[in-house]
Amino acid sequence: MIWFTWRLHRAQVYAGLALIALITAIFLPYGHAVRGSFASHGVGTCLAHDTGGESCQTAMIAFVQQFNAIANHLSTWFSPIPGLIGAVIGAGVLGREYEQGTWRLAWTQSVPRGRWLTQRILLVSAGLTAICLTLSLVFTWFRSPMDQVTGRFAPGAFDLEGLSLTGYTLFAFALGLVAGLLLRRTVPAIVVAFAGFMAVRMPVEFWLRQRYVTPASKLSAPTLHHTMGPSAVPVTPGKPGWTLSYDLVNASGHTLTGAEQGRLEEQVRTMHDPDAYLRGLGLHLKTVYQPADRFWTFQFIEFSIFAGLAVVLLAFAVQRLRHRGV
Amino acid sequence: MTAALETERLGMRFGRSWALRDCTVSLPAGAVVALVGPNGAGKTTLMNLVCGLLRPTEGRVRVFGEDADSGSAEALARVGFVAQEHPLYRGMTVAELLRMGRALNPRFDRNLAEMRLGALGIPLDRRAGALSGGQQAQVALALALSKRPELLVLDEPLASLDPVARRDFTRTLMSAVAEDEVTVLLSSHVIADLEAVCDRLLVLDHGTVRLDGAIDDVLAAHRMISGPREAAADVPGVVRAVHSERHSDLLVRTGVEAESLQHVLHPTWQEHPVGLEELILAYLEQSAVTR
Repeated sequence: MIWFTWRLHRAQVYAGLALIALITAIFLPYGHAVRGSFASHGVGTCLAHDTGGESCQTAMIAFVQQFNAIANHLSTWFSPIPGLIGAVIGAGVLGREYEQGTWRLAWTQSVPRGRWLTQRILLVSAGLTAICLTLSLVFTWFRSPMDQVTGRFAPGAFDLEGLSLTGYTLFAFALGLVAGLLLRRTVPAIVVAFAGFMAVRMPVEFWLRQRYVTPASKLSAPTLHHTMGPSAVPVTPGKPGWTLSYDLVNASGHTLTGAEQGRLEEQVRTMHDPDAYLRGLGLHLKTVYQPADRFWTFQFIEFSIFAGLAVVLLAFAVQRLRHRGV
Repeated sequence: MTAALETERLGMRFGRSWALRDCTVSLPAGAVVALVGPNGAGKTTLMNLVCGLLRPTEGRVRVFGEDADSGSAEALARVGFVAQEHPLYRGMTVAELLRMGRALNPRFDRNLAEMRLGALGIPLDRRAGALSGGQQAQVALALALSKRPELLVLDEPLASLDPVARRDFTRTLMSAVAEDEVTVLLSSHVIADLEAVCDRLLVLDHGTVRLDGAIDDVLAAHRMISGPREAAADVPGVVRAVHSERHSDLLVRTGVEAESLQHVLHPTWQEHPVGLEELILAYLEQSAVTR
């Protein structure tokens, strides 16, 4: 079965290695450029000592803006790619057998078809895992200076580093395989699997992920000078986590409503030192966030969700093929 | 002696329609069985059940006494299958297909396969997709035979072949049967091709068995008689009747002692033996009429 599986998938293995080579060839020089800029802007020193100073803020914003475009492109272009790769490979496993009629050849050899499918799944999953982890390593290396400023929870970082990329690909592979089993056609199976992949992947990223662990919160000196979002530059020292919200709270701990905050912003617009005025009102800035050290916890949870779904789908495929006939 | 293939009230339903129903047959070891029937008769369904590709809705299939749908490696190793249109991995070379055969089958005889294909002049380094239809059929047959199966199942192996390829295929099959003592179940539309190879007949129509027996016995047990139409109603055992204004041609099942017919019939009746093709067509037409 090992040779047989290799023979059927070797073109895909070569394509995977070519993809790794291509990504490395692109991001190796780019990674060096990022490192050069990181040093010349003095970002490292800023992060080590104090991030709040005017010059440091300017330096970090300049650094982030220089590479923000590429980092964002990476995340937008690369978030569907695990789904696509997984779906194409998964759909081919059974879809091609049905389309070309070779299932009648394959499953009348002396390897029971349940075992045949299990072994193919294990070998292909191992190959996919190896390729995805390698890609994640390249991305992690490329992004590490950026990550020091904007944190590893930024979409372009979290989705490509660690285990998440592998989890996504395995999930899409499983979807493709099951779709190929049920539809008996490769291309429709790819389409269905990819749609199914995005339908799970997107809600997880934008809704579920921030709820994995109850977020932490902290109070600090009030300011209206804060930025939110994945590429926000940190205003406090320490490793940047994932900021979910900034709110002004009054002395009794109540959060100001959006309307109240809006009114305050109107009032302080013309003031020389608005932050001092807010302090005078007894307000604090409440930050709700996921701390940076939860990165691996979140990675494991994210991976478990997608890899777990993949295991369920693949087990279903094996059981169905074994028991239902073909 | 254990039958090579035994089915017991075998039924297979797809959705609401039965592709095969109440099929009980027993094929002796060493037989070469022609499975005949029109499209949709259930031939492929029966073959897929025998190969364990399908699980029966009801009843049982046994190959040399063992359930065919157990799906075990041993059960699979005993049956060689050449499916309709003899599918192969088209991107693999012939040598790679043989390597696959050896990797996936415990008793696979690669030397035998290479020898057979070499004798046919089929290059081992050619991709399967680049071979002619006849050569692909030969490769598929070589793969199935090299498994050293006890039962060889061939689904319409001749259908897509030209006459020369058809002859070569039949020849390979016959020499394999002689050498390996393998039991063969073979389906085909082309009745003339079957006569040379097969010694047993199984006629299937609309999912049920119409006729089952050794070809010699079946032929001996049937007579074609022609005579006056008015007397036709008295003839027993009519399988199919063709009437013209005055005259009737009847295919009659007589039982093995064909002489007895002469006592029953009026002397004006003429009697002649029946050919295999005529016989099969008669049974298929009869079932079409009675439905």
